[in-house]
Amino acid sequence: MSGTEQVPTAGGPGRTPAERPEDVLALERELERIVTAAQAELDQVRREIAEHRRQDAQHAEIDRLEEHLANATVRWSEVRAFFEDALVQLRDGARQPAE
Amino acid sequence: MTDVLPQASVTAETSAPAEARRLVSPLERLGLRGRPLATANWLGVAVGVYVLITAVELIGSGFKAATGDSAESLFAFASNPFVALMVGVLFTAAVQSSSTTTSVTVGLVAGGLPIDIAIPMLMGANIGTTLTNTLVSLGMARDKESFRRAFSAATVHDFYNLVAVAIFLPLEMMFGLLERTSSWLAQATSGSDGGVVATVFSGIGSVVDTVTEPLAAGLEGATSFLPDPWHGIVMIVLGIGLILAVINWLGRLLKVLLVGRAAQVLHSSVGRGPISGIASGAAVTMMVQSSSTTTSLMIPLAGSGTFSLKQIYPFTVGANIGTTVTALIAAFAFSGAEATLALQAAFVHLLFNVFAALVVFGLPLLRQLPLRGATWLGDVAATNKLWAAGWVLGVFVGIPALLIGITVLL
Repeated sequence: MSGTEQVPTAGGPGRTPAERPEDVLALERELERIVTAAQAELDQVRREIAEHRRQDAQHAEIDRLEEHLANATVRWSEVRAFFEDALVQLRDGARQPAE
Repeated sequence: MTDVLPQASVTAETSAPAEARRLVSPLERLGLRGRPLATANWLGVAVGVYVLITAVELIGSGFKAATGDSAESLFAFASNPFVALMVGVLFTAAVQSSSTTTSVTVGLVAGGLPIDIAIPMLMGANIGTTLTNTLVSLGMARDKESFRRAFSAATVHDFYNLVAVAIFLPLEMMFGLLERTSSWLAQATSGSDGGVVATVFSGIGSVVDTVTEPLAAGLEGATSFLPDPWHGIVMIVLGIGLILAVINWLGRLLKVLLVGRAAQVLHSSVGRGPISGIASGAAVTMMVQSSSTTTSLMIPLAGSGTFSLKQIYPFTVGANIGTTVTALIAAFAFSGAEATLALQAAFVHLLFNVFAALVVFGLPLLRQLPLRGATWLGDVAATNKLWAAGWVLGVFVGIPALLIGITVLL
């Protein structure tokens, strides 16, 4: 729309077809449809960007495969620490009902 | 907004930062570098395969010597399929290598162990091998969210194998599904009436048998001063020890040699579907000859959120299939009727894992079970570590030991 055109306010005789209420409604619906479609497209682009980022991160980790393979072993000190934590949790759990 | 997965590197996210380690060939100690080192590594692999086959042959001979014609009576305690299953679980969990269990079983079957006892043991190897990546995931317990993801990624393998066994063990007991199909396949590839394929396989088997015979005979001779059945028992123990050592040796060398190729395989599977995930899991496992290694290496990647549980799942299914190659190699230790039996045991492991992939992963309803189980267990274990401790001790130690104990005592 140009700046000289009137903004439709209410329907009535003598107004242009675009200013009739039903046309305004149709225009609003059309605008809503365009906005919804644009939003969906934006979401799709965002999803694709996220997927690209996810894949880039995965490729970066695979580039460090040698390091990951070297580390793919059981660390018994960590396993022991885990079971010690679990034991503490078990003792705490047993103590609480008694208190 | 769509969800964007954490971009932090694995080392930054995990509670136990991975040190920037590199793979070191045991042969580097000899001062070798570059091409001579690569050549020496490949020679080391050839020697490793040679020793593996010899060790399996030793187990077969040792089992025969130890049991005479009474192999069944020695393993009578495992004639209950559930007990045989638990023997497989416990042994594999103890040695942390399903390849060792399957290779030993191949040798035992060639030496006279009934295949109906061996089949549940081979199934148990699948369950037992998942202990390693579960233990690796425990190392991430200090960060709740990382641990939730890592423990789910580890236990999806447990659940998948448990579902597979829950389906195929009863089928085996009722119809002998794996026994029949593996027998047919073994006959077709090594039997006297198997045609061209059997002739080729028999030819390879005979050559391998001839080459490995001197070392096997030498080791057998070295223990012959012992009276029976100790002579046979020592041979079995020696064979198991050699297999354990050589699988570790092969794994270390193959990792160094094929890490680049493995990375290429993994790069090519990123952004593709689950079939590609299965194929890459199988290929990488064949390269490093260890499903424990491939499934364990994915744990920190899952813990950091870089790989989702849905991406890890098909990879572990592929790892199960890839690890069956070791037993097939081990089967070449024998010739004639023994070769058919050994191949049958190896095919049992292969077919079980292929059937499991087709049924458990192939059927949408069943495919969801391991995912849901692992997600639930990861959630509860992250909140309460006792769930994780109970799962590890119960599935891999308590239940197997209890079942075997009850059967032996009764």
